[in-house]
Amino acid sequence: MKNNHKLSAEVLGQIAIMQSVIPSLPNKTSMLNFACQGLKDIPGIEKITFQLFEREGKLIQNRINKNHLYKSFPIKANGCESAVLTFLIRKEKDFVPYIPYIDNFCNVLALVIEEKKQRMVNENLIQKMEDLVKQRTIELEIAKERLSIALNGANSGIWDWNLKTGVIYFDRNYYTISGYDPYEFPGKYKEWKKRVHPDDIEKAEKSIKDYLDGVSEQYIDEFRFLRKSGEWMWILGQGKIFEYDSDGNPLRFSGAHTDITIRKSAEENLKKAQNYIVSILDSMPSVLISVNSKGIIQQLNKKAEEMINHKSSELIGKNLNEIIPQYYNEISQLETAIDSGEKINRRRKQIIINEDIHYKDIIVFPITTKGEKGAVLRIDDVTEQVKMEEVLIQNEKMLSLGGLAAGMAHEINNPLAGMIQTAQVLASRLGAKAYNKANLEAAEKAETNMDSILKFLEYRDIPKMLSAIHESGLRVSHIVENMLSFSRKSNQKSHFYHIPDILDSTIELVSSDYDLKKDYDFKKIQIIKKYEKDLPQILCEKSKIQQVFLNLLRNGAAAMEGRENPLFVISVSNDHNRKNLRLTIEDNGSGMDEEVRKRIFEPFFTTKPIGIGTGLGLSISYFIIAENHSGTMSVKSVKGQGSTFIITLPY
Amino acid sequence: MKNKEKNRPFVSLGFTDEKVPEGTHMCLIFTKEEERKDSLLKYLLSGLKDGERTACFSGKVTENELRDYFSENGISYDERKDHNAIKLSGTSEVYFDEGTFDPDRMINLLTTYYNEAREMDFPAARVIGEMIPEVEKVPGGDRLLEYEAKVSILQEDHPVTAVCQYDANVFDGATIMNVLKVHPQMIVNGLVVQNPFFIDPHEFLKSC
Ligand SMILES: Nc1ncnc2c1ncn2[C@@H]1O[C@H](COP(=O)(O)OP(=O)(O)O)[C@@H](O)[C@H]1O
Ligand SMILES: [Mg+2]
Repeated sequence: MKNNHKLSAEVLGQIAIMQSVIPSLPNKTSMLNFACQGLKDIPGIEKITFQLFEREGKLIQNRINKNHLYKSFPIKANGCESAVLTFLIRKEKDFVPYIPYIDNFCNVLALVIEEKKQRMVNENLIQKMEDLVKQRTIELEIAKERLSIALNGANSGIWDWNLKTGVIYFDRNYYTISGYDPYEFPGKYKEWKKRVHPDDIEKAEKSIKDYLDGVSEQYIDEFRFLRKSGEWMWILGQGKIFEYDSDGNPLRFSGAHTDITIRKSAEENLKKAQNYIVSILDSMPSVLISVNSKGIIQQLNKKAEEMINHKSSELIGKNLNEIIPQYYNEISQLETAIDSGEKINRRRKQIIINEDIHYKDIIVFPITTKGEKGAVLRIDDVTEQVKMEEVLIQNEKMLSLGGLAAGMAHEINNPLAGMIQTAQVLASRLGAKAYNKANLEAAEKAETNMDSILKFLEYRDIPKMLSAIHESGLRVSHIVENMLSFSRKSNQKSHFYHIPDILDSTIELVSSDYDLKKDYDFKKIQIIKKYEKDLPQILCEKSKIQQVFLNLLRNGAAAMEGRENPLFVISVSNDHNRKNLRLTIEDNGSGMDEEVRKRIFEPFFTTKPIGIGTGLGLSISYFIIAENHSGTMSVKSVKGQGSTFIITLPY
Repeated sequence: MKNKEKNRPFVSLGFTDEKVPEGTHMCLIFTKEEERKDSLLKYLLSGLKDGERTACFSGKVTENELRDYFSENGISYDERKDHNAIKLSGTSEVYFDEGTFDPDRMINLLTTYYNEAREMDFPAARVIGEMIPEVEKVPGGDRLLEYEAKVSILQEDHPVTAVCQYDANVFDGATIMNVLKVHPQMIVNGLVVQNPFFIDPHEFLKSC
C-alpha cells in the first residue's frame, strides 16, 4: 500500500527548502512555527501542532480517536527530546509516504537546535570565565579547569591564549574532540594554524585579527580542522578578550572550540539538494541535459554526469557536440526543433561505446527557461530492452522458419531421392551397363543397335547432362539434409565434452579441408586462443557443436578474405554466476551493417553469390545452440571492423 | 510563466552569480547584519552600473553609507540622485505613510515609479525594501501578504525588479513562512531558488 502512493515533488521541495531556511531562524519557537506553517501542504494532514520541552521531554504515544490519528515526531537534541511535532491526520494513506521525509526533517531540526544551544552554552561559559577573572576570586587556571569539567562530555574544548608569551593553553577536550591524545601537541598558535584547512586559514586568521584589532565586535568563526585520523572536521570557534595590559592592549584571548561537523555535513547535503528540481532530476533514471539554442550545456543531472563521466562543473558551458559527438545527428537538428517548438523523437539509435553496441532512445524537448529558448535532451539506454526483443524475435523466427524448413525438407526428400535414383539408373543404363541384355533386346526391337544409340547420345551430350542432374540432385539433397537439422529430433547421444578440445579439432579440420583451401587460405589466418583453465565439461552432441564451429570459422574466413593480417581470437571462459561457458569467436573481417546483422540467423539469408552461400550455416548453428543445447548465440559487429560471435552453453 | 514575461532581459542582482529576468519578485531572508548590508549595497550598485533606476526603502542604511560604498566603486551617489537614478527612503516613511499600511497605495507608488522610470528612458527599474515588524501593529498591516501578491501581479505588466528583505530575527517563523508563499523566488544561502511554496498571486488573492 505504501509504495503505491506517489510523493509530490513540490512537497519534497518544500521540505528541502525549509531545511535550508531553518538555520537562519533565531530560536526554537520561531523554527517550529515556521515548520508547522510550512508542513501544512503535506497531503492528508488536518492540523500540526508542536510542544517545546525546556528540559527532558516525555515520550508521546500515538493516540487514535474515532476518525483521526495523531502522529508525533520527536525532535531529539543531545539525546533528549527538545520538542515534538504532532500531526493530526485526516487521510493516513496520503500521509504515510512522507513519514521518512518528516523524520529526516526533524533530525535536521534537532541538529540545528543543538548547535544553537551549544553556541549559547559557550557564550555563557566565556562570560563566566570573564567574570571569574574580573572578580579575581580564584585563579584563572582553576577557573579554566572548572569550565573544562563543565564542558566535559560536550563536543567543545577550551583554549586560552596569552598574547604576550604566545603560549596557548588547550584543555583536554580540545585535543580529544579531534581525536588527539590529551596535550599531544604543544600549545602554540602555529600548531593550531597548521591544522586548519588551507582553504579556510586565510579567513580564519582574518577573523581573529579583526577581532583583536577591534575591527569586529565579536570573534565567531567556522573552519575545517584536521583530526588526528587525517579527516577534516568542522569547528565553531568563539572567543573573547578578557584581560588587557596596562596600555589597553589585549593580553588574554580565550574561548571555545566546538565540533559542528554533523550540522555542517547536513548543510552541505542540503546545499546539493537546494534547488529541489535538481534533486528530482537527479533521481530520474534518464540522462537529462539542458542546452540553450546554441547547443551550450546549461544543466545536467547525475545520470548525465555518469554517462559522460565528468562532473557537471566541467561540462556546463561546453558545446554539446564536443561532449557527445556520437549524437551529432540529433544535435544538428536541435536548432530546428527549438525554432519550430516540435520535439524530436529518435528511437533505438545505435551507438558504439568501447566497441560495444548500445541502443538509445533520444528525445529533444524544446523549452523556454527564464525567457530563453533552449531544449532538454533526454537519453535513455534501451540496450537491454532491444537485445531482449531481438532474442525473442529471433527465437520466434527460428521456430517458425525452422519448422517450415524442416517440414519442407521432409516433403522434398522422397521425390528428391526418387529423382536422384532415377538419374543414377539412367546413367548406368546408358553408360557402364549399356550393353546389357535388356538394352540389346530393346535396341533390336527398335531396329537399331546400341553403338548407334550411344553415338547419338554422345553427339547430343546426354551423359554429361545426366551427371549434371545427378550432381545437382546431390546438392539439393545436401541442403535438404541441412534443413532437416531444424527438427528437434536428434539421433545422437549427448556426452560430456571439453569444449576447447572440440574447438581445436574443428580448427584442424578446417585447416586441412581441401575445399576450403581453395576458397580461402586458412594458413594465412592467425589464430589466438584464450582458453580459461579448468573449464567444466559440457553435455553436448559433439558433431553438432563441431558443425557450429565449422560454420563460424568458415564464415569468418570468408569475411577476412583479401583483408590484411586476418586474425581469429577464440576464447572460452567460465561464467560462474550464470553457470555458463562463454565462447567468443572474433574475426577482423568485413563486419556487417545493422541491416545484415539483424538477419544473419534467418534461414536462407545470405549476402554471398548464389551457389556459394546457402544462408543456412548460421541459422542451423543458432538452432543447434538454442534449441538442442539450451544455450544462446549472438553477434556483435561493426561494419568494416570485424565481428564477434558469442555462444553461451549452460553446464 | 505568462507569455509576455517570456522574453524579458536578464538582470544581475549583484549579490548572487545568477541572473534573473527583470521584473522578478524575490524574497531575501537574512539573519546577520552583514547579509543585510551586503545584499542591499550590491543590489543597488549593480542596478546603477547597468543604468537602471533604483530605489531603496530601508531605515537600516544611511545616505553616507551609500555615498561611500558607491564612490569606492566609481559611482557618484549625489550625481545619480540628481538624475533620479537612486532614491533612499526609510521603511516606515514609505510603507506606513500617515500611520497606515495600504497595499493599493503602495502598488500605485510602484506603478508610478516604474512608469516614470520608462518615461525618463531608464532601461529598467528596481527596488529593494526591508519590511519591519511594526507592520504587524499599524492599521492595514494584516494586508501585508495581499500587498506582496499584488506586487507579483503588478510585475506582469510593469516589470520592476523587487527584492523584499525580511530579518529572521524579528519576524516569527510562521510569518516568514507566509511571506515565502507570496514570493515566486527566494534566495537561500546565496542561491536563487524557485520557491516551491509559491502560490499564484491570483489564486492567493481569491482566498484572501
Ligand atoms: N564473420 C562474419 N563476418 C561478416 N559477415 C558474416 C559473418 N558470418 C556471417 N556473415 C553474414 O551472414 C550471412 C549468413 O551467414 P550463413 O548463415 O553462414 O550463410 P552463408 O555463409 O551461406 O551466407 C553471410 O552471408 C554473411 O553476410
Ligand atoms: Mg556460412
